[in-house]
Amino acid sequence: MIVLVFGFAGLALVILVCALLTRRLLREVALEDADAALRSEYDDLDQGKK
Amino acid sequence: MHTLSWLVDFVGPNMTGGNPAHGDSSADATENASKSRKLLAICIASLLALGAASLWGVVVGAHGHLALSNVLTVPMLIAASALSALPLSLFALKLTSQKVHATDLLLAYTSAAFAGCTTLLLLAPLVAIYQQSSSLIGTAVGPVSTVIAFTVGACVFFRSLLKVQGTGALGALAVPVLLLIVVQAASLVQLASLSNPLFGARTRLGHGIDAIAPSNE
Repeated sequence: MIVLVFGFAGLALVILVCALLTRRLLREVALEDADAALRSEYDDLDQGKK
Repeated sequence: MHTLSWLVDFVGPNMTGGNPAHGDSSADATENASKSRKLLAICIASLLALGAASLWGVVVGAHGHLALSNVLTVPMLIAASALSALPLSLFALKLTSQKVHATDLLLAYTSAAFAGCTTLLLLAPLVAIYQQSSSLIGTAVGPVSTVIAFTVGACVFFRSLLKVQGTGALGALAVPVLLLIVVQAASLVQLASLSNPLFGARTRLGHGIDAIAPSNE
């Protein structure tokens, strides 16, 4: 029985960690994407100047 | 949304996975993806896998009025068996390889779990139909669907590892990968024998290792 209690605790832990990490990483990845888009736009403009 | 399509791409047959932030879907290797994107894909794949497993439990448990219990029991079995197998495998990885990162192994593992659990979910209607209508194979079809899903997951796991590391690191990966699959299967079967039956009656797989390898007594 104790194994099942640990199992359910493990499930709760996995869901909690994944949910919290997802929330944080979504923001981080969105920032990375925006940064990559800006860099590529800047590179295009820079090449246009030359 | 980008990460989800990246994950589906990663599970798919193309041997490379590009970074959607750079606008390429299959040009660059998986290592181009940032660590944050890989971690995000790991989290999303884990949550989706647990959700799909939970839904499978509802569908196959409807026959024996176990639907509500299965909502938690099936993801618990998968999460607990993964938690018992992953630390050992990561430790073995650290002992055998310097090049392979834990994130890569986790990404390959969670994408495989995602593929396996999606297979389970897609097989669920067939399982439910046979459970309701067939006395001949009605009891066997549930365990067979889990074996199929496990096989699909293991195949996707190997392919994902090849995508992440190439064939060069296969020797170093052999021990952790085998440990992961064997320990997860062993703990899954024993946990299933301890928990409530997932189907109407307890199946042979549900009796754990004692039923699979019966003693001589």
